Amino acid sequence: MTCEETPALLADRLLGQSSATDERRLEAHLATCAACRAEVAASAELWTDMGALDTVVPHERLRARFHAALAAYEARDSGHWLDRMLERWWPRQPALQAGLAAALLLVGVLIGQRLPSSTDGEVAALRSEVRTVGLALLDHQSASERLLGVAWSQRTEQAPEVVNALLERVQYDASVNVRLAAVDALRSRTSRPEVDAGLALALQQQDTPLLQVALTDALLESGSAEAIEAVRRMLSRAELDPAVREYAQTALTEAGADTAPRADI
Amino acid sequence: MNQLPIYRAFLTTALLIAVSSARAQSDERLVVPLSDPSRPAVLEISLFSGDITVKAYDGNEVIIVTDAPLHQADEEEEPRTDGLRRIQSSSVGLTAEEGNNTVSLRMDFSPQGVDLEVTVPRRTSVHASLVNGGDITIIGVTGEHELSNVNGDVIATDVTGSAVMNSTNGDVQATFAAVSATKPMSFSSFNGDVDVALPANLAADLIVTSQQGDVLTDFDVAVEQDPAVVERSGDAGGRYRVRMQRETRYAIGGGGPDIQFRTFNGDIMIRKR
Repeated sequence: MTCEETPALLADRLLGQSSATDERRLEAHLATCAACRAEVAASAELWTDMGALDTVVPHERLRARFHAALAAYEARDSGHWLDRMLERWWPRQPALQAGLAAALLLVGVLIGQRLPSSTDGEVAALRSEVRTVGLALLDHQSASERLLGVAWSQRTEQAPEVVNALLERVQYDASVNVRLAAVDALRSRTSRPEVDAGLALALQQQDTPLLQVALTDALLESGSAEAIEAVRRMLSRAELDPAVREYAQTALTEAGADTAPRADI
Repeated sequence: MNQLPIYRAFLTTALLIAVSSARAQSDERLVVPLSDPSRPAVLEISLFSGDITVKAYDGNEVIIVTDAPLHQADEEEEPRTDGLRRIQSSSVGLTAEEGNNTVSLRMDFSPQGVDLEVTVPRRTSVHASLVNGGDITIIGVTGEHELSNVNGDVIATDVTGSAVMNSTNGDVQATFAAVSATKPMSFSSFNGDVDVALPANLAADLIVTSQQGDVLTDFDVAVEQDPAVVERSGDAGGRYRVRMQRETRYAIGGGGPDIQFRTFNGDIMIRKR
């Protein structure tokens, strides 16, 4: 036999399919041909190494991918791409569906919260619009709407125009009840000089006893020298209601202040 | 405020009631039609002295009845012996005006009282103010009512909507058939009691302040904000800070619009109706 026949006979041998005749002829040739002997040895070694390798088993993910690909292939042209995508990703169990919906909602909310950095201007504009509406309420024809305006002012930031609008209500509102509510709204803002000054001026000019009492409370709560002096000045008014006079005197004493007006202010 | 001044001007009817002394004993009656009877009306009354009663009825016109002992009309005046003639009069004149569904009744200052009884369509907001003499009473009207008196009572009976009521020396009494769910209200008196009956199922925040009176209610109230304890701080520099919060905030029916009650000497009664 020749060297050219060796690979074919070798393959048969490795596969265990060679006949006894072929086997004898190969052996006879190898005994005389060193090159073929070397090649047979190398091939046999490779064959043995390959046999030692683990059998490769397809992974589960591969199976899933295959099935998904198969399903996609089968579903191709069976509907809109969005339907197909949803069909592929949307879980079948109601509980999972609800969970996924909640998760998507959460993602939406989180994105929404992150985004507004670019809409601060709009929020400011909206706030200013709300303020305009609130100030308009304070100037409304209906006393009930003005009370609503006063209630709004207590929940808003202390912008100067809001404080001014409240002081204007205290002084000039046609309804005693709105004037009283405005004094209450300003009570949390006393000790600001403009508020104290406005309330002191109102106490000097108002002659409704309930309002005088409310203004006295607000001014003594502030406790500034100007506020206390305003209450003292009211006591010097001859026409003052006796009950208001007694109340203010007691309140001044409780505040630890003199009831007599100071000469130096 | 009025956006239709020309419209209003055309619609305005100015009516002067000058009741002669000869007719003082009999009632003077004036019927004022509204510009648009399909819409709610507003009745504005501003008197210095007198007694005001406003009643609702199922009609479309405002009917004013007054038995005031009023003055002689100028034209009926006897010529004076000194040759002078009167060019200005201090006598009472009641003016009624209607414009854009608002009926206004005003009287120049006079120490004489005027008894005024006005019958109005059910949907009428009543805005009335009085200083001396009698009471302000409104019955059965639906709207936003604003009533203020100095020396008499202010009484609202079976009214619907919202009310802002004040008296200095009289009582403030109100019973509501129904209350606007969103409107704040306020009731106050210096020397009188404040007595208000509200629908039992009302949801509102009651803000109650009384220096020297008691506060009574049969509502189940939840205290939202207690009066803060009087706190006092002072320093050698002569600055003092006293906290005298006397208002208490209660929620009824879970809370809602603010309803303020305030007296100095009188009691406050908040009843379930």
